[in-house]
Amino acid sequence: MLAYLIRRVAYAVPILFGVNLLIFLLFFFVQSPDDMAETFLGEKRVTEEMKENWKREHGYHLPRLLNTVEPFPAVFTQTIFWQKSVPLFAFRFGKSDMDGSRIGAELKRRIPYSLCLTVPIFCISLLLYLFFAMIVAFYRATYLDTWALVVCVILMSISSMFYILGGQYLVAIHLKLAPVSGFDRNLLYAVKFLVLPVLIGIVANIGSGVRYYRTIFLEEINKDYIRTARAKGLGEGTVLFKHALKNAMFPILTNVVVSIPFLIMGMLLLENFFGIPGLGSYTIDAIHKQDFAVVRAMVFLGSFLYVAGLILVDVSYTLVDPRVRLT
Amino acid sequence: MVNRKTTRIPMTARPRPGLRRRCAAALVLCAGLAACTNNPYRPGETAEPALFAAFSTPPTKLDPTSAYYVHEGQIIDQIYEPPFTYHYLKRPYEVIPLTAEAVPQPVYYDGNGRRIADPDPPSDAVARAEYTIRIKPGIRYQDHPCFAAGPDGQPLYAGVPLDAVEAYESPNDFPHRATRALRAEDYALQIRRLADPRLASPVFSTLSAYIDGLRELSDAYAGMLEAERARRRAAAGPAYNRQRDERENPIRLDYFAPDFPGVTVHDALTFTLALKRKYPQIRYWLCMHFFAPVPPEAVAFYTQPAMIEKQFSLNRWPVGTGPYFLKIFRPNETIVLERNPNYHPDAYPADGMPEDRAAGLLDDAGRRVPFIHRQVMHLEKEAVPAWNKFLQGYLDASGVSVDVFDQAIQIQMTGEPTLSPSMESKGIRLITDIDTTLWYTAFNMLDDVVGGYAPEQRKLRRAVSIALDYNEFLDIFLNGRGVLAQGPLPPGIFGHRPGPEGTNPYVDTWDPVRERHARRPLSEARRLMAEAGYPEGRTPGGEPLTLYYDHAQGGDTFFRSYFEWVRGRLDTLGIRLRERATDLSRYRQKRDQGNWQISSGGWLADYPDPENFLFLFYGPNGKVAHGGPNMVNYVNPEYDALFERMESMRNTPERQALIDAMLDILRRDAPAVWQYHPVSYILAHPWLHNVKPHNMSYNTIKYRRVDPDLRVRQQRAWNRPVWWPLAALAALLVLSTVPAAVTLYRRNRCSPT
Repeated sequence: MLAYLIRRVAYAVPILFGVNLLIFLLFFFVQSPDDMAETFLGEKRVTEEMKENWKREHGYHLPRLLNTVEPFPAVFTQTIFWQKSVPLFAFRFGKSDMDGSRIGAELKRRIPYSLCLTVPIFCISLLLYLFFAMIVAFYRATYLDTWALVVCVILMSISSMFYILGGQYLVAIHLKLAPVSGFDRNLLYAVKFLVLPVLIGIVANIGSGVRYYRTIFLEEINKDYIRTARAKGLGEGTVLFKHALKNAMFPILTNVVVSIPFLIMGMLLLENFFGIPGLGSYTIDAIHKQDFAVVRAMVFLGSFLYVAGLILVDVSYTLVDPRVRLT
Repeated sequence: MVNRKTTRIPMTARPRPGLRRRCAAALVLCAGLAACTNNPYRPGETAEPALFAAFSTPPTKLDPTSAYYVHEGQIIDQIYEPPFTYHYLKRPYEVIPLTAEAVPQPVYYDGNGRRIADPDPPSDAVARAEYTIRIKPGIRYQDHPCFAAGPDGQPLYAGVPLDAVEAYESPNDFPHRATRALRAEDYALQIRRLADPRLASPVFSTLSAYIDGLRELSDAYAGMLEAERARRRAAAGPAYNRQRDERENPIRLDYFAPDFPGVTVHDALTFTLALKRKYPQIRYWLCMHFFAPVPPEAVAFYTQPAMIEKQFSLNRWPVGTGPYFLKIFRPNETIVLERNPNYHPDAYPADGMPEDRAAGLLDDAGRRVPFIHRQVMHLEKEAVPAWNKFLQGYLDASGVSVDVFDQAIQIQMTGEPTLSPSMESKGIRLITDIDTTLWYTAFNMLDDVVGGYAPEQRKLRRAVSIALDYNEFLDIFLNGRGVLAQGPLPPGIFGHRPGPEGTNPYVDTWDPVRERHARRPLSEARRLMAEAGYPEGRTPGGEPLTLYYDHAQGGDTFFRSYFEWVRGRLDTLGIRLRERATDLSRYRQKRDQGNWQISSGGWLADYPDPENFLFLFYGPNGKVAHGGPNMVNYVNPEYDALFERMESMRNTPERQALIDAMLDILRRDAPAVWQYHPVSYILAHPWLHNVKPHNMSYNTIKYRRVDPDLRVRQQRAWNRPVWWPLAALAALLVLSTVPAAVTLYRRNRCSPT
């Protein structure tokens, strides 16, 4: 298994390099260093000299990919790509172009805030969706199943924005049970800020979650071993929660484990609307401010986590099924 | 010791298994429900004399050299103190001393270095102007670790390793902090820092045209930096990464090394600022944070590797003498300003405008400021949550966005805005003020069709101006929150004439009934079109006249509606308006090259002087020819000559006459459609006092006062939780399980097993 993991990690390097290069090229295709300088310096009283100064101070005066006036190896190293993008592979994220803050430190600071939001949503959602999906699967082909599906489709059809604004209006403004938005670094005080976004995060995806897992369970409960278990006189709870759930683990794991690394990336909309200073709102802010350094770091982190998630899924298969061998 | 084996509990008294846990769970649930509140603050926080506000854009630059945006000024202007400031209540804006003992009169010298006796000489007679400023003694900085000294008198934290400061979240966490008195050299340092190319001061290009030797100083600094970087790069080899290197080993520029005739320090409390020419507007610049003092100790403290690693810098942790210091700076969450215990004696103004007394703005006259101990600001990126928090009483004041206008404001038959009954019932006050801002539709004067100075070309621009009725725009898009502009000068700026005598006669008339300006009738615009050679909007060849609107706001839904309105208005003259949407980069390129036809522009006053608006049309400021702020590329020698006479004059009747003549030229040539000056609406809760909008200065928090007891009472009254819908929902959920239970029961009964 170790050899397999090493091989997978080695495969990841060119993937990450390609993603990095692609993002670099795409970004510079739409946004030149001059634009970045103007975005930073603003419109008023800006001169060409100031723009040149800004580029020089932020390292954007260098050529993008090849510095043809320099000898080898500076032909590669004295370029924007080498100085800004290559250090990412050592997890050196550099500084924000807009406020000069250290991106690595910001990530460290913000990841716990994102996790405060995403972990409860992830855990409670998973349990709730599995539970409801099994119930609905149990009542398959009854009017309960039909109505549950109708409700699921309705819930899936509603925009996330509606859940957020509706939730804020109902719970925070009308019922006055939770703050409209905000956050507190002290977890004791942060709970009251998290209740509403967590609730909305769970409810907003309940339709799609229950439908997805119901499909998996329906596939399982029609199999012979379930019929055998029932024929042996096992209770319906045991049949569902022990036998069916265990055997449905493969597709569930594929869906769940690949999502785990992404928990640290936060949730864009919820963080933005509820003022939670996690990585989701960091990413949105960076896009709005055209902060290339932060966007580049977040895309790199996202691609890294995706690759890590896929490796974790493979490893998790060996844990739930001893027959699986990673070679 | 108790023998556990012999301890028996009677069966009747022994708790049933799980009951204790259930009781505990119920208690926790009850406590949790009792803690349910929409109050976003910690218990008791709003009972303090603190101001609660929201900010929507995180500040990125708090260094007084480079901060330029309003939201940054709103923070650092509470911390830094330039030599002068504006009177809080008086209008027109009046410059008064802040840290200076007085606002000095300039001393002028001619080309031979002889002093000119005339206090207001003509500009061309002046070769040098000197402002000698004496600061008040006894002004002290906030407590800061940069001032802490060891027993040997050396800075205590010089060369401090990262390990020693790793645990600190801010400079306020350092165990040793100290203060010192403000000195004239601190002002000298800050003026020199304006020339540091690394700091990219947005006002450098403007000020270097006036301050003696500032440009040469910048060149000297750039040379020093390049030499040091070249040395480091040669030593490090091809893998040299400058940003990383300078983070680990920052370059310490010796700011006082190069000669600089612009500032001379005479003694601990006196310095002279020298200008290359007459420039009375410098006194307004001296009210801005660009001229606030920065202690050399702070610069040395923050250029240590450990501080850079911890992101402790002047860009994030200012060091000032003002009424507040930065207690918490988490730009993506919370910013807290705390009262500076070292703040020098300062009092609420004893006089103001005649209406201020009736408005209660002089109730605190002469009392020592600041009244508010803390200002707590939380990030609210979205307008809706911020508005709802204001309605709940958790924010002390709010603006009025278009989305909530109808909820907050009612427009009377007279056009007067008043509060809606729901706002009035809460005791909320409405405060309005005309912003010193100009919005205009720009014609590119270099364009063959809409530009030019021939009478026909002027008539075309005037016709377009009449057709674009911005009173209609204000009613449709901004709920009437604006004043139709009659030229570039907004109300409150010297030179602006209100009422009928300020009318732009080419485009507008005075409506005596509604007491406001109104556009001339469209028939007049059609006549002008015909005289311009476009009868009914047709070119001499019979084709419809097609104009192009250049912009970079393709994704902006508001702009889309606005553009449709503009297109519809021009359609009434038979003009076809096409849009040329590009990205921002391309748009800037087109603007710099003069390759556009019609666009829009705006200008927010830096200082209350007509020069700050009229220079937007001064020929040598042309965008294409000189890269200046004259976006429309307007060149009129007559106007330029008047501008050169007017720009450095005092506010005298003679200056007013020059401005009148300049405005007449601009109105006649119509290089822009004068759109409007926005009116800002502020809503304030009844517990917030001394609120008067100030367009020029942001250091006004020290004058605000709150009544925390009233705030707490009102917050409680307005935010009682409503529980019954939750109980109803729980009942509904229980009921919804009944069919499932019935189905299960039936299935089990029918099951063969």
